[in-house]
Amino acid sequence: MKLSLGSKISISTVLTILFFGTIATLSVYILVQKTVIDLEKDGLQLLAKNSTREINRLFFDTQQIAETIAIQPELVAYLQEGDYDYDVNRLLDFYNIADRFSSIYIMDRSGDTLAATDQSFIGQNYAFRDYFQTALYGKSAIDLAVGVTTKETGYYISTPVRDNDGAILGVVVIKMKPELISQLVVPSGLTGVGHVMLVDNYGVIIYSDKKDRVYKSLGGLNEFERQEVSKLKKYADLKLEGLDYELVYEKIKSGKKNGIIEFYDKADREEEILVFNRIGNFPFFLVYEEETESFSSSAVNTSMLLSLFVALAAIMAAIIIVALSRNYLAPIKAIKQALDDIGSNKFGGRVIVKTGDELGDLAKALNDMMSKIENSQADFNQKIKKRTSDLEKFNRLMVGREMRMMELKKEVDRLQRGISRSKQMSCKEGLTEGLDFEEKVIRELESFYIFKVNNSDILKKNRQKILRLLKILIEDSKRHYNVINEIIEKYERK
Amino acid sequence: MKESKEIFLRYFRDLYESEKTAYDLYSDFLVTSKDEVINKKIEKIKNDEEKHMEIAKKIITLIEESA
Repeated sequence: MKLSLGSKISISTVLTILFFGTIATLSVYILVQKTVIDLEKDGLQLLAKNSTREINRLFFDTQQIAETIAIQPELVAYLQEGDYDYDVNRLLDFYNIADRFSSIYIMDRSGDTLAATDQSFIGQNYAFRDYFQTALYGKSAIDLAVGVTTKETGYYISTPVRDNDGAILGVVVIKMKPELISQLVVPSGLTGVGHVMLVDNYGVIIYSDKKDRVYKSLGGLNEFERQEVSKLKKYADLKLEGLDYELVYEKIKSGKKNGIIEFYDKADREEEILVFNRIGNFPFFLVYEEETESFSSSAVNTSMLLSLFVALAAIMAAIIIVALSRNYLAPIKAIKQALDDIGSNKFGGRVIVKTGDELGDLAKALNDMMSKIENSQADFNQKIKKRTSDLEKFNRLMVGREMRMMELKKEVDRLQRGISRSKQMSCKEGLTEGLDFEEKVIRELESFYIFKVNNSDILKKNRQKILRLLKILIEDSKRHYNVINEIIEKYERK
Repeated sequence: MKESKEIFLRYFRDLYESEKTAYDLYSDFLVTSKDEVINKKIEKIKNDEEKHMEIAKKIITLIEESA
């Protein structure tokens, strides 16, 4: 298939654009993907940090409330002096604003609940709870557990109640509703398809937007951890099955407060990013989970958009180049036509190209060449004409000479034919003629010449000499006659 | 009748011409003939005719010297 110069330029340009456009698209895809993922990681970390800060503040504020309750003189007196007439429940209700907490209750040193905003707590003993034990040691504590009374999950914030000497009289406990925590986290992460998990220091998920993950362990508890959790009765008799997030749990156990982990989730069969943050100094961690693919989609979309631009650019470039090349290369047709004319020995035409570029120079050179050829041809024709005239004159002269030569040749031929005829005379005829000649000579010499010489007076002086010579002639002729006669006889015998 | 010197000269010039005719005749024969034996004999005769032409010339000279 024959392609025009314009088509070749267009195809080459489009292919070049597509080639480099593809490279650019791939490069952009890789860079955008990396950048987007990095940005998303940063965003996810920021989100986790903010959520952690909010939860931390909630825990801290609740702890502050518990400590405030713990220093109330009426409560101290209540526990110190056994002033059971004092309406402690009223005090507790005062701090349970808008029923924000599940319950606020007071425990004595033996773990018995003396007062509570929820009457079902009164008389119950929670001495086995870790938060109680920690408070008895003089430290505020926060813990999560499934209530043995309510069977509801709650966050327990405890703080010791001391007398003026610092002796611990009892413990104030605030049981927080889990909803307070879950309200502070963005359940679907940044992309709307992620997940969030709140875990304790054993890696047990205590809250997640995916309900089936709650009360399961990130990486599965070992036997020691399982016994410890069982002893504290934190999760009643729940099995605490393990999930596939061992990497996060390992980091938590190793004391890491925050971090980011990229890994392949076998359960979900996808690449994932996990960001975990410890909530202040509390034994809880907030874990955000995002699919890498959800981040990649941004890079894919950007690259697709760029590919679209590249394709459009290639198409536009092809259209523009075809139009421009037709315009730029139009003089080539005129030049080709001029060359065809030269090939047909037509030198009168001229190429008009006013592009002012190389094609213009080429057309000018072609015109100059055609002009020179035309002049040369005219000069040549003139010379040919003169030469033809000379040749015609010469030809006429030569024709005259030729005619004369032909006549001479005819004459020569005629003469040659005559000679040839005599040469073609047969041998016998020649010999017969010779025989007749010899006979005639003998007869004339003997009867005429001898007689005349003998009778002449004027030859008197040289007569004898002449007669002697004549006799020689006669004898020779006789001998010739005999020889020729013998030869003729031989011919006749043959 | 007694011939003059010029008449004798004409006689022998005719004889000379006859010998020359004979010489030409045998020369043509030799061109035509392809028989070597015959040609050898005719060649000898042709040579004799050439001598006869010389003899005729000599006789003419003798006639001119006469009288």
